[in-house]
Amino acid sequence: MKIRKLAELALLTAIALIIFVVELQIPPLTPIPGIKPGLANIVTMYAVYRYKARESALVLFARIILGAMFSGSMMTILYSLAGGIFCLAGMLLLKKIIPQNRMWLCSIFGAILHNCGQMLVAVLVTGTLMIVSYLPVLILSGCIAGAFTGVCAQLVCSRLDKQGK
Amino acid sequence: MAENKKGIVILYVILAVIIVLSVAGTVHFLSENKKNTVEIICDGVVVERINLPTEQNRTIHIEYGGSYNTIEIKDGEIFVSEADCPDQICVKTGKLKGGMPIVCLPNRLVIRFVDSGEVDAVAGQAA
Repeated sequence: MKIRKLAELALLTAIALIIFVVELQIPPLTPIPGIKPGLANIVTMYAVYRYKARESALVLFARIILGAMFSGSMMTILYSLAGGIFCLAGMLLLKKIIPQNRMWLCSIFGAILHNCGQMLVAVLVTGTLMIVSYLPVLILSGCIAGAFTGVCAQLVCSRLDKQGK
Repeated sequence: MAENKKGIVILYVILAVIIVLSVAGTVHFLSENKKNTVEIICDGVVVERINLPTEQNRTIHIEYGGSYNTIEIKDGEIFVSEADCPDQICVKTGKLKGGMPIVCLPNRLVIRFVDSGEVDAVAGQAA
């Protein structure tokens, strides 16, 4: 890996971590657990569209692991990882169909896949299939959050394009 | 980049279907609240079954793998009053209501409403 690329990816990871840590300080918007904006995924989206699959995976997983360490809740890492893998795999595939000017659509699907991945782990860990009834609520919130992060990432990309990067 | 119009239209349709289903699921999830029997499940095993309206006020202490949750029953309502899990989501969830169970993932604890006669095959299967 070129030094320049390494530096860029490290920068992206750092930005994502900062957003992640700041978001931790925001009180939950709803009393329902598991619902949060996931603003750090603006960076993930950007990486998916601007870098190779391998590189965006590096940024995402570095953020998840370091983020879990920073927030002091290693237990949640399993959920984040499962969600992250689902989300990333889905978005990398969808990227081939969805052009950059519709990134928000890709982001929504990513969010939905993320929720599904987390739910899968939750079902496996608790051994309770019942909690799947909670999935629609998560998906709905994921659509809203995903649309928001997607629009943000799209704005970032189009502005960088205008500046000639 | 050449737009793959057909692919995008299909994705829009899929998204619309998912959203409609989720809205229906959410409405169903939030409106479901006519049950009185509560199950406390730890690591997939039903620890206790309680008929909430007739139950006296008391606290239940549940331990799992060295961690604990203190569950309190008060005036026909149930909630987790204390836990040593890092995220404290179970405590913050508050009183059990509707279809949303109280869940403590670190301690593998689930508190939920069930139909009074329901034989729980799902929880029983869990290892």
